[in-house]
Amino acid sequence: MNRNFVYLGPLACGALLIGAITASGHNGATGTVGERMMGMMMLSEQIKALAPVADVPTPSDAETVIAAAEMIAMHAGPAMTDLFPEGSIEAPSEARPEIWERWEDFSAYAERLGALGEELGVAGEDLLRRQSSDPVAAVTSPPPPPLSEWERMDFAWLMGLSAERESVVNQITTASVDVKSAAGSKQSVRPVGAIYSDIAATCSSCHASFRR
Amino acid sequence: MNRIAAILVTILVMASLGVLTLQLWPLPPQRPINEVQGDAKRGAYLARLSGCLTCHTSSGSKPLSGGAPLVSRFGSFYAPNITPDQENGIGSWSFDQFVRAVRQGISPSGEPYYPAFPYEFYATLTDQDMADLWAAIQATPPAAAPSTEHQVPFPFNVRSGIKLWRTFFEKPVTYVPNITRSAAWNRGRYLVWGPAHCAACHTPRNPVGGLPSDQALSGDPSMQDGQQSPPLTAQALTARGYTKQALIQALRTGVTPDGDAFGGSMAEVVHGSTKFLLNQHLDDMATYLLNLDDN
Repeated sequence: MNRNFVYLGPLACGALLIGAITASGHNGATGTVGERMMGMMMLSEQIKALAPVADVPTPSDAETVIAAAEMIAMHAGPAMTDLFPEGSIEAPSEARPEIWERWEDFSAYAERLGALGEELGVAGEDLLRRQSSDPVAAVTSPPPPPLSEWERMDFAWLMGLSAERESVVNQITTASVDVKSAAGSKQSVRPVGAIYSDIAATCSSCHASFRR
Repeated sequence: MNRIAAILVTILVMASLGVLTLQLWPLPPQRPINEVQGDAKRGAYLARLSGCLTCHTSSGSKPLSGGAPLVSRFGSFYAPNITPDQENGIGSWSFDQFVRAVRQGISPSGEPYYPAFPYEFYATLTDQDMADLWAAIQATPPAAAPSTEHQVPFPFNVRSGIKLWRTFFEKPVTYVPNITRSAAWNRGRYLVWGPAHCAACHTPRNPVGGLPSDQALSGDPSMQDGQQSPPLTAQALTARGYTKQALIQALRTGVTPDGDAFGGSMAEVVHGSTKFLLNQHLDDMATYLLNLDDN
């Protein structure tokens, strides 16, 4: 038997396996649909990576936050909308035709995701700065919030009459500022938890409008 | 000729009798209510938990000034303006009328509400809950937006026909604590089957929209809006990767264990309701849904 043929079997099996793994990764989708489904999977991986650290990130989580932020920003905005040529809804795509009927809304979600990704990067850099400027604080657990969770809620916030309380709640949760400084000064860097929450809400709103 | 006339008269008499019967068909009497002092903030929390704000507020409009259409096989239902506006809201209602509307699904004029309004689940709300909700509504700024009429075709637009439906299909939820389970599990069950009304979407309804008899959140493959809802049994949730922490996270942020973000009506539920809840209550709901026990 020719030696080349001895390797042909395992090579063919390997090629088939790689093909199967690639196809199963995005439900058999190919071309533009496959590419964007892989992009969505990549985004969900970033969300998964952020989930355990978003609420109370420590400076040691800075690199995770920055890496996720870069990937989110890179795959949002035009990088995302370019992968939605009109009418590309063939199976297994979950896209709805409303995307092209309300293209401005769809693009706005993609842009918003990009902006949030960039903002998350800034918050990550802020964590990194704290790690290098105060290594003692970096390993100290955050102080307990001064108010109970119930006390931090108010009528106006619960009824949707004011969004201010939410920002204070998140700032306290991440222990990046105390109540007084949150109320008295405008913070330039929003906490990771608040940005993560907005990213999740943006994805949900887009899915609710444009995904089957 | 006389025979045709006799048939027509018979049909007319039968139809009149049918209408009269429906008009006179009795509805449950008002349940007694204890007078208690309401707390507006607690009421606002209950309004989030119960989905009042989600359904009665359309995007970009004032809180509780009327909701987006709830599309179903029977037509489109619009949650009305329930701000304290005298003309367009419920400013002219009494507390007793409000309680009967929410817990029993009967309007101040004695008309039954469509079960699109989940009063079957709100039947578990206590007198204190009702007083708190009432206080929250009184403290909400009135909105002059008129309510939108339901767009429901015949025969479903015959409001008195709902009385018949109620007789055969209404299943008001009752809450009896299970003393063999932990307080957290029992609170979770109360929240899931009561105010949070998860079963409204996560149980298979019968062809006329009635809830099943058993308390099993087995999902609905054919929801009223044409979508599907997944099962919320402990086994199904675990199979989808939900741990207690992951379920709390999903209800808080809308992010699932695989990093996806909820779409569909669940996105509205999370971002209009569950993200506002106390950690303890999300913990309770997860404890019940995953059938965990702290005992």
